[in-house]
Amino acid sequence: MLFNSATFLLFLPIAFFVYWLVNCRGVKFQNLLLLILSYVFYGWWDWRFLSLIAFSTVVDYSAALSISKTEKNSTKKLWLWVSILVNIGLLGVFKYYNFFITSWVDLLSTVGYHASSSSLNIILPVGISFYTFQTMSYTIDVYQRKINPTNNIIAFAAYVSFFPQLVAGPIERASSLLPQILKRRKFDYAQGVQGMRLILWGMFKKVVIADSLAIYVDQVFNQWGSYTGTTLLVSCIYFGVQIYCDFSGYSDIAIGTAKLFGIELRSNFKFPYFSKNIIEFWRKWHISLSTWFRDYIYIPLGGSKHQFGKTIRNIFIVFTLSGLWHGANWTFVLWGVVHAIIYTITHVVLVRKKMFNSSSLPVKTSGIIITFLITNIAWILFRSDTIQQAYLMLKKIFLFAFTPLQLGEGLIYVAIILTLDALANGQERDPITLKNSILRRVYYLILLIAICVHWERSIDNFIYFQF
Amino acid sequence: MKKFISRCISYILSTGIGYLVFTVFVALSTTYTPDIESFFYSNSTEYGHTRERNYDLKKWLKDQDTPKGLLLGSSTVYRNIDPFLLSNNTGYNFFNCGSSSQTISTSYNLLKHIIKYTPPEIVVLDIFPELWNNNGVESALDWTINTNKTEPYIVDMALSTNSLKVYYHLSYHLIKNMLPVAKHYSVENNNNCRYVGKGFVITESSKEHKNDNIKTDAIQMFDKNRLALLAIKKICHDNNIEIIFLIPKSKQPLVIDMEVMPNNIDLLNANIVPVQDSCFYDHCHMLKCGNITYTNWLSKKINEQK
Repeated sequence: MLFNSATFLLFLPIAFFVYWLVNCRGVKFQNLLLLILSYVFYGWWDWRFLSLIAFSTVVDYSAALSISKTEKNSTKKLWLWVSILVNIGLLGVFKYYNFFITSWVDLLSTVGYHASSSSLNIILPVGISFYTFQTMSYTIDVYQRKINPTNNIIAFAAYVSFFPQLVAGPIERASSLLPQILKRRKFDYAQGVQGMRLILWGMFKKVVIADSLAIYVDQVFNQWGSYTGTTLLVSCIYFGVQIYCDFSGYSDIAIGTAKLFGIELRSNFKFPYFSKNIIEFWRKWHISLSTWFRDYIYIPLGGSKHQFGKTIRNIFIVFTLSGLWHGANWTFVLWGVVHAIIYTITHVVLVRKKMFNSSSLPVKTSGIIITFLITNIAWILFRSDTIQQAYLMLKKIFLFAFTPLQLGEGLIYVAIILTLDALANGQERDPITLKNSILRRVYYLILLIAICVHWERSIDNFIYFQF
Repeated sequence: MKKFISRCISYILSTGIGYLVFTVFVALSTTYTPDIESFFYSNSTEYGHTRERNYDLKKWLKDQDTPKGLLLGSSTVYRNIDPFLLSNNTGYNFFNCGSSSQTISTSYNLLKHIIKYTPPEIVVLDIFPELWNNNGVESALDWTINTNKTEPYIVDMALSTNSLKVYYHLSYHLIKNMLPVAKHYSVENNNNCRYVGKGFVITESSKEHKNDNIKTDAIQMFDKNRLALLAIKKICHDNNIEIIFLIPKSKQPLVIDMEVMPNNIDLLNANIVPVQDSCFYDHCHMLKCGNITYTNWLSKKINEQK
C-alpha cells in the first residue's frame, strides 16, 4: 500500500479512528491493533512477505531474551551472531544473491574461466533493508546492555512492523520506539495537528516536486547521448532534488502518520542541501541510516580514535557498506567509495588541518554551493544503470559543460523546494507555519491543488522502496 | 480528540468551499482566456477528437431507423476501422466509439450508457492487449474533459478509475458545465489527421513512420478489465446483442498469455489480416490504405456471423 494511493487515503482515517476507539481498553489492545494494522498495510503488497517479517521478529525476540537470560559471554555472543546472521542472511538471499552470483561469474570469465550462473527469480520484499537493520539494532543494543529486552511479543512485533516507518524508514532504535509502544498512548492535539501538516507537506514534496522532476530525469538518463553536457549536469541536480523530495517526503509522511498514532519518530533529513561540507551533509541526510552505520560499524571498528590510517579504513568500510545497502549493483558501491574519498579529504582539510573553518558568509556560502554540486554530481553513479554509463555521462559533463541547456523547465521545481526549505528556518518538523488562520487555509488549499494537478504524473513508487 | 476532529471537519469544509470558489473562478476565466484553465487543468485536445465524437454520438443515439452497430475500443478502433465503409458493407449503421487508451472497463461504461437508448444489434469490442493492464485514467480524462455536459455515465467512468487526478478534473468539469458562460477551448495538434464523422479519425499520410517502443512482454490483465469483459458479454447476452471480441491488427503482435483471458471469451484475432507495414504509421495505427483492408476484412467476418 503506497502512501500516495487512494487505498492509503481510505486506510489511514479508518485506522486512526479504530485505534483511538480501542485506546480505552488499554495498551495491550492498542498494540494488538497496531500490529494488525501494520500487517495489513505490509501484506497489501504481497501477503507472502509477512512470513519473512514474522520470522525476523521471532528470531530477534528470542535472541534478545536468550542474551539477557544467560550469564555466559560466549552464549550471549552466540545468540547475537544468530540474530545478525539470520538478518544478513535474509538480505543476502533476497537482495544480493543474484548480484553476487553474476559478479562472481563475470570475475571468473575475466580470467578465462566460464562458469554457468543460475540466478533465482526472487522478488525483493519491500522494506527488507529497513526492518532487518531495525531488528538487528535491537539485539545489538540488548547485547551491549544499552536496553533491556522485552518479553511482550506483541509490543515487540508492533515495534518491528510499525507501518508508517516499516517500508522506507526512518530506521528506529528500540531505545526510542519500544518504550513508546510499551506505554499507553494518549491523543495529543498539537501532535495530531503537526502530524497532519507533515503528511500534507510530505505529499507535496513527493507528488509535486519529486514526481515532476522524475519525468525529466528519466528522459535524460534513458537517452543521455542526445543531451548536452549542461543538461546532464542539471539533470544530476534534478535527480538529487528528486531523491531528496521523494525520500524526505516519505519520511515526513511516515513521521506525520506516526504522530497521529501518538508516536514520535526520529528525524531523517534536516535540510541536507544547505550543508557547508560533506561531513555536515552526512549528519543531515538519511540520518537514521548514517547513525546506524556510525553506531554499529564505525564506532566498534574504532571510529576516529586511533591512528589516521585506521580512521580512513573505517570511513571506507562504512561508506562502501552504505553504498551496497542501497542496491545490488557496483554503481552503488562506487557511489559509496566516492563519498568515502570526499569525506576523507574533507576530514583532513577541516578536522585535521583545520582549514576553511571561518564562519564568514562567503566561506559558508561557497561551502554550501560546493557541497551541493559535489553531492549532486555523485548522484550520477546512483542513478546510472552501469558504471560505464556514469563515466561517459561525467565525461560529457566535464568536457562539454558550457553547452546549451535543454529541459530547463525543471529548475522551477528545484527553486520552489530550495526556497521553501530555506524559509522553513530549520524547523523541519513544522514546515507549514502561518500564524494567520485564513492564510494558513489558503496555503493548504494551494498545496492540495498542486498535489491534485500533479497526481499520477509518472511514478507510483517511492525511490527508496527498491532498497 | 473532539477538538482535533472538529478542526479537521472545519478545515475540510473550508477547503471544500475554497475549492468551489477556485473552480468557479477558473471556469469563468475561460470567457476571457484559456490560459488560467490550461495552467491548472488538462486541456481539451484535438488529439483523439473525443469532443466531436461525443457530439456525433448523441446524434447517432437518436437515430431509430437503421439497425445499429457499435465499435468500442481505443485508438486502434477509432483510427483503424472505417465506420462508413463498415456500414456500407454490412447494412448496420456503425458508430466508432473509441478514445485514446480506452480500456475494456471504460468501454463497459460506455456500452451501459448506449444501450439505454436503442441498443445496437452488434458490438465489436476491440481489446488491445497493451491496455489490458491499463487503469483507464487517460480515456476517462478524455471523456471527462471533452464533454459539454457531464452525464452520469461519465461520472461512473471517472469514479471507477480510483484516480485523484480524474476526480479533480471531474469536479471541475461538473461545475464548469453548469456555467453557461464558460467557454470550451481545444488545443490544436498537428498529427496530420482529421475527424471525418461517426467517431472516425483518418490519417492520410505520415511524414515519418515512427519506430515507437513496443511492449514485448507477456501481457497480464487487471481484474477490473477482466470483470468488465465478462460484464460486457453478459450485458450483450441479456440484450440479444451480437458481440465480437477483437484483437486488433498491429505490426508486431504481442505475446499474449491466454490464461489471463476468461474461459468463455472467443477472440477474433485480426493479426492474420494482410495489412502491409507501409500502411501503418506506427506499430498499431493505420493509414487510409490500412483502414480499407482492415475494415473490409472485418465486414466479411460480421457478414459471416449474420
